[in-house]
Amino acid sequence: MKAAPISRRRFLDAAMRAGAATVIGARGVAAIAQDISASGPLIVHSARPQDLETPVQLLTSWITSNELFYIRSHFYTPAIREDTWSLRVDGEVAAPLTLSFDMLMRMPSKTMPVTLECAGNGRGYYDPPVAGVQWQKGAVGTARWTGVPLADLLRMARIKPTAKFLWLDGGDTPLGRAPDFIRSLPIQKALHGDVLLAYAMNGERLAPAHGFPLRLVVPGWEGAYSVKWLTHIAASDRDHPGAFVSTSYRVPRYPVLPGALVEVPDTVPIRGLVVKSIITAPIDGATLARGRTLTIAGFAWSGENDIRTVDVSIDGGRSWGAARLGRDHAPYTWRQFLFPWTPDEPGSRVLLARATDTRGRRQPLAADWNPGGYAWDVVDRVRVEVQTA
Amino acid sequence: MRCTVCHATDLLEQQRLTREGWDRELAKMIGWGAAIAPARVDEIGAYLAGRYARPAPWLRLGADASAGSALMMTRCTVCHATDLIAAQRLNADGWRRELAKMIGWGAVLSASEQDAVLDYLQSDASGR
Repeated sequence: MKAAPISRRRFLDAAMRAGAATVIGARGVAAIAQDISASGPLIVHSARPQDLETPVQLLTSWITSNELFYIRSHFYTPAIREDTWSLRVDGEVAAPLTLSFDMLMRMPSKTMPVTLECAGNGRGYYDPPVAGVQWQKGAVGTARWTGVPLADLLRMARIKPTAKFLWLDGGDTPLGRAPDFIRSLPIQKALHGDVLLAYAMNGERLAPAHGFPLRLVVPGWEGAYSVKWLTHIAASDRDHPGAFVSTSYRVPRYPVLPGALVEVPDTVPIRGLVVKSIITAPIDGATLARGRTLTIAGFAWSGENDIRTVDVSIDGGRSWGAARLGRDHAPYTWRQFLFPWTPDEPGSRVLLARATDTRGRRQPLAADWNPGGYAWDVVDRVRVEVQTA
Repeated sequence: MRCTVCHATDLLEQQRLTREGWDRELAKMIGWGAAIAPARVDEIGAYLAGRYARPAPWLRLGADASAGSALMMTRCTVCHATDLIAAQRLNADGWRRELAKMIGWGAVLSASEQDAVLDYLQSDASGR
């Protein structure tokens, strides 16, 4: 956005005077906490609702800073007050409860690094094109999340054996007649001790855009399970029937012809992230000096699995060499890869990176097109120009 | 460093230019005295475009005299900005499906207004 930053208070005051014209339905301007100031270095796919992508060349460190972390939202960022917020847990539980933030803070917490990736990361590359936010490579990031294990809360609520899914609802409000954004988490994953009710990101309280005051972090699974502004967990014996579970975030059971329409019964929900890598340096279109050594770098990840190798090619895939893997690693997080290269011939070169995970799964060369434009995992490529210095 | 001789980086940070846009601005700055050697122009253009990037919109949407454009600017931007529209790369069928979905979610358009909007979106596609 090119608008000069203005304070949120001035915006709210002006909009209040202007009446409801700028507001959806009768929600009230106070409900919109969206920061309308400049988004810094992030790529603006949508200013409103807020969908911002990290330029890949800024992903230089294992932990992504809060300011650089991508932002994905279906609707406007809600303004939630910590003192009036609560988290309700009900449904198939023997002891339904309503938790205040203070109560949550009194529960034991832990901190763990997790890589989150948007299911639609890479949608911009699908051919034929798919409708939706045209993410490229940067809807992915890694932060240290601090929170209370969801499993502890479920034990407190005495979850029943009949509970098969948790319906997750956040404090964001649908636009117009859009369905409410509700997701459904299978109980086996929900009970895993690594699923966190997170209230801090890299040591700081969550910013409004990142889910203040509480979000779920479901490690190793696609980002839409990590519901922001969490306010309600309903345990159910069945999957949620809403659009964001039954229609969205699903891929065909079997690969389809690019461009095909697929009926919902022929689709399955996306769960764990697939093996994938991105080249963060050099950037696409860079000019490199012949004879000067540089490091081809990037990140590789595979959801709940670890990375075994990343192979890099500097000649469009004719030959491959193993990259060195970075020292920082942990379950559910990406791994940096580094490949020193001294270009010796001038000309336009295509660099490629292909990851293999510890289950032996490897990135494909050809895309599995799907009507939602999800789970882009094709071998990454960057074109550079090597010039005689 | 050659840039901050005259102005701070906030002037760069707020730009949302395509590569072509950055190339033009860089040429203008060099004309105004920025000390950048010709051999480095491409490298710096690539850096700026990557560092302060926005993807080029697929559609060149803008206010014009057409009914479809006016409808898009009023009926669609109730919920979201035009950047979300401009980034889509859809054919006629794709636009029809998306418009139907948006109407299902609350967009207000009569049948003839839908025709006008679809006409505008399809005709304005840059076809890249």
